[in-house]
Amino acid sequence: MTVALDAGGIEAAAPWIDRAKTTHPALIDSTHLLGELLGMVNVPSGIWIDMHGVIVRPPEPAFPWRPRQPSDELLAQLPAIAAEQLREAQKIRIEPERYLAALRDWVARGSESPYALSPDEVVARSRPRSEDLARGAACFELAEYLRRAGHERQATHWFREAHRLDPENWTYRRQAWSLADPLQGPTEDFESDWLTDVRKIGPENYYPPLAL
Amino acid sequence: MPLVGEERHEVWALGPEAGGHALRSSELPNIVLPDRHGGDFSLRSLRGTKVFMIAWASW
Repeated sequence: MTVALDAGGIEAAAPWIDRAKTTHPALIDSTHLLGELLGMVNVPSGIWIDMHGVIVRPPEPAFPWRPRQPSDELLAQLPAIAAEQLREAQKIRIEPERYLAALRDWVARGSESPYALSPDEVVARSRPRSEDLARGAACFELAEYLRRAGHERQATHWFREAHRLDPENWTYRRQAWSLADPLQGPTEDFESDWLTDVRKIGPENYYPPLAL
Repeated sequence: MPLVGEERHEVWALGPEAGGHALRSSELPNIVLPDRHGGDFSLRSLRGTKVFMIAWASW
C-alpha cells in the first residue's frame, strides 16, 4: 500500500495515483499524521507490518528500484534549478537491490526472515523523540492548519519554527518549501531550500545507511 | 506534551509526548486515512495479510 504525505491532499496526490493505475490501497495523509505517529522524516519511507498488525520494520528509506538517470536532453528542457536538483539527486546514496532482496525474503518467510525485527528492536530503531522534536511536530501541525485556513504569513512562521526544532526532518522542510515554490528553490519565506541543504550535508548523507 | 498556539487566531496544536521513541510499541496505531476517492480506509482492515507500506509525496 502507499500513503502520500501531502498537504495538498487528494488534489496533489491523485494525478500520480491515477497515472500509476494502482491496484493496492493508495491513501493520502494531508496532515503528516504518519510522521508524528511513526517517526517518518523523509520519503520514500517503508514500513513492514505483519498479518497481526505488528510492525516488524520501522520507517526507513525504501527504494524498490534505482531511478533512471535523466538524459542531458531532458535536463536541458527543465528549469535550471530543477536540472541542478536532478544532478545532485544522482549523488544520493540508495540501496534498492539490498532492500528489495530483504523485502522479498520477508514476504516469503514471514517471521522466519532475519529482516523481521523483534518488537523491542522495532521500538529502539524508531526515531527518538526529544522535547524539541515533539514541539516541532506541534508547530508543523499548527502551520498546516493555518495554511489551510488561509493565514499564510502565520503558517510560514510556524513552518520555520518546526524546521528550527526538527532540522533533520526532510518532510517538514520539503513540504513547506513546495508550498512556497513547487520547485523547492530559494524563496523569501524560508532560510534555505532543497539544493542548498542537500549540498550542505552532502548528498551521500541525505538518507541514513540501510541497516538491514 | 507541548502546546503551541497562534493566539490571534485562537488556534493551538498539541504535540506528541516527548521522551523515548516515536513508536511506543510495535503495534501499528489505529490509523484511518482517506483514499484517492475521499473514502475512509482503516489500516486495521488489512489484518490477515502482510503489508508493505511506502510513504511518498508529490513534492
